[in-house]
Amino acid sequence: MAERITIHPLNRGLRPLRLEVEAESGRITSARAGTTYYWDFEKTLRGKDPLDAVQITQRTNGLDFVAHTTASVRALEEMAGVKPPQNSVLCRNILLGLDIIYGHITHFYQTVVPDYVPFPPGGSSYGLPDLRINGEPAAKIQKNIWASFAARELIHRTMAVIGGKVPHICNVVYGGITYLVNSPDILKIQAILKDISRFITGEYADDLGTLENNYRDYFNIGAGAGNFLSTGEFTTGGPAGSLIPARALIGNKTVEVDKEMISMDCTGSKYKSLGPEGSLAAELEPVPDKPGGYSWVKGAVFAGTTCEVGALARMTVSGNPAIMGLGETAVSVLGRSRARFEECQILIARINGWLAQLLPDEEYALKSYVPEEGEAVGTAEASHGPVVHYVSVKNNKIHRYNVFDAFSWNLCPLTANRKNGPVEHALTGVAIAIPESPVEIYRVARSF
Amino acid sequence: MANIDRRQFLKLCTASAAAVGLSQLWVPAIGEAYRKAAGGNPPIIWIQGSACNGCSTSLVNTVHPDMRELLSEIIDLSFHPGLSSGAGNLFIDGLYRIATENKGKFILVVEGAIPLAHKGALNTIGEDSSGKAVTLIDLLKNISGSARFIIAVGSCASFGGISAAEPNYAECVGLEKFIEVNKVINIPGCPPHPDWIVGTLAHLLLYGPPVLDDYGRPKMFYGGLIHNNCPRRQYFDNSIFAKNFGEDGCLLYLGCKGPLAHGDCPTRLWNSTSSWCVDVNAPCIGCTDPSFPDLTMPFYKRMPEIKGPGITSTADAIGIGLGVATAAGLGAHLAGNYFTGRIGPRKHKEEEDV
Repeated sequence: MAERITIHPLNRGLRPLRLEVEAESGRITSARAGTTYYWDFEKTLRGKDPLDAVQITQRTNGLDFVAHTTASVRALEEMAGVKPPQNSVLCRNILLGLDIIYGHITHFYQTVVPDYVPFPPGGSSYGLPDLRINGEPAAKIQKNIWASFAARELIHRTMAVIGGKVPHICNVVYGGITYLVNSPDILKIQAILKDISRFITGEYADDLGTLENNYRDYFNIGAGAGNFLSTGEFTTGGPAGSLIPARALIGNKTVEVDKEMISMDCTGSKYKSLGPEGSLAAELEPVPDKPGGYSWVKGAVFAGTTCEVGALARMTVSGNPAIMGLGETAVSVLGRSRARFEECQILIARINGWLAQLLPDEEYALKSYVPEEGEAVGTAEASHGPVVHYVSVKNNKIHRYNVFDAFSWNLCPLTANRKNGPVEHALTGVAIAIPESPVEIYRVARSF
Repeated sequence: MANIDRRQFLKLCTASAAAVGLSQLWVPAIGEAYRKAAGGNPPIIWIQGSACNGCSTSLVNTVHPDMRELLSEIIDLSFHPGLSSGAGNLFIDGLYRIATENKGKFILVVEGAIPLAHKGALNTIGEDSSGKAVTLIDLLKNISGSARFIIAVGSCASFGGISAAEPNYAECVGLEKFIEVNKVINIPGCPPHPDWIVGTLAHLLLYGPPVLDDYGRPKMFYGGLIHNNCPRRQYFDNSIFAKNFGEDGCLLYLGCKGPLAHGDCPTRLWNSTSSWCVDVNAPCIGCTDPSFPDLTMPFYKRMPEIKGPGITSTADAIGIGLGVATAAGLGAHLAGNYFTGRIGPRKHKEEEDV
């Protein structure tokens, strides 16, 4: 017999979600995942100075804000046809890398773990079933949830040395950065990075291992459609190209990513596009009671299809050996957590390398002006996936600005060609043991 | 040090970061005071409205006390959307239960603005056990009356902030436009410094409400003008202005809103005293001011109304006046916000020394 389960809110994530699933004989047959708050304040940028976008748009998201600053200035720099100095490229890489690590640690300990180990200690995790880790190993994980807050503070401390303050950094501007770290700064960052690295390779690795050993079945739960996308990240300007390529896997075909192939699909969201239809430049009108609209997420699609993004997508398109080694089980609840961890390890090593490449006496900001007219798209990878910024400028003022937050991809609502987004896709087919306490749904949805 | 009195506490809160911050003295002294009060500390219910949730991210950056000390020894954070267990109606019912059981005792913390358009339908936070959607407005109407204290964390919750930036389709307002103004303590900032949040909670628990300024901000943190305590103030007084990022000089020509904004950033510093905006050659964007961001944009252009050296003797007094002058410069419809009361000083004012 069909039954409907609504979960609202699903909290502890990047944003609270509303999930609605239909189940038949204890198995999910269809799912809808969306947000229930309007968030489109970039409209305020119309008529404003293009330089202001970097500050306004990073307030899109209190976790992935570095990606927003970066995408915002990249759009303007592309419009002007300028390349920011190497020092600023490196500093932006370091900040982005640290922000992604921050996002992963936060995701693991704050979003994922409490569905497996009750937190705070002694708490019942609201009567969750299927808690398999007990005793000493559980106590260790609980202790490390506290430790993860301290690790996060350390990451923000290093970011602040470069970016002024965190959250919401102030050093990234059109044409470069406002400040170049000096030798004492670098020593401080390197020292703190060692502590962060120790937490990742020690506690984080152990705790993920404990989860994996006790929940092997979750490598077979929460699969996706197999479409992955990364808009590419961490170029160092040299011939080596980017650490993460701008590449998509659609079906089993590899596609090099062209930003032109990214479009907007608001079929299942509560925005009405005033056209041009599908364009990133589309003017959007909020319609709270739009028929068929069930989410405030602006849907992002690539080459006409929804794509999974984030660490698993980046590790997949860059051919990470640990993730490749998981084979098909990589695309799963715990595969996503494993991919986040692998990415943390890669980035922490790279950040040290980028620090070493900084040239103290060289320039870090261009003296350049934003063109009077033009339009461009900027992208940047955040822990949860690519953010995409569209900007057009007329008479030295912003004419239109559209922001895709990272969750525009994984939470893409139903598209015009009836495609589900990755979260909805992963939920479909999941078996639920106890409908009153559907822990499987929590674990799948929170794996993104 | 077991009995730390209010005056000593305020001294700690206002001390320069280089010396202490909230900080090294916190654990032995204030921790002790807390443990005394710990038996009956009221629960805190933290809810999120229209915001980026960066304020909660900032709270995690608290160092002395750290999150473990804060949450397990000092405050009783009974409910937080990012930290609490529970999902679906368990979550909403649990929230109502905590509020009912602690009627008249709990502290309500609101992060984010309140969207009034479409009767609140632009922000539903969950469903109760009867399956009815609960809007943020429903929730606030339901529980705010039984809160002992109400704190608006961040510029969105305090004054509307970026959520209420024009054209403000969602008709977002700060908490004090929704709830009786004198009940709300504002901790603006985009986001606020964790010490401002933790310090205000500490004052509430130990001594009751702190002394507030005209905009409902605790004077112990927002008493000074950024410009007055800026390490580059000497440059301003000597008319040395940076024209490009990285140059020595006052950042006024690069858009600095320090002469408008109140806060102790220059002395407290951010992220465990690592830095702050001006230390990385970036202008203050005025994020603690009621006029943020509509009237503090353009962020990287000079505020035309600041005449330069010579107006400094009444710098604090010009803070608000300057805002109005800037508003006039930017457009009458925005200036109207000041006069119609969307942003503006409170009617009621408490006078007490800090």
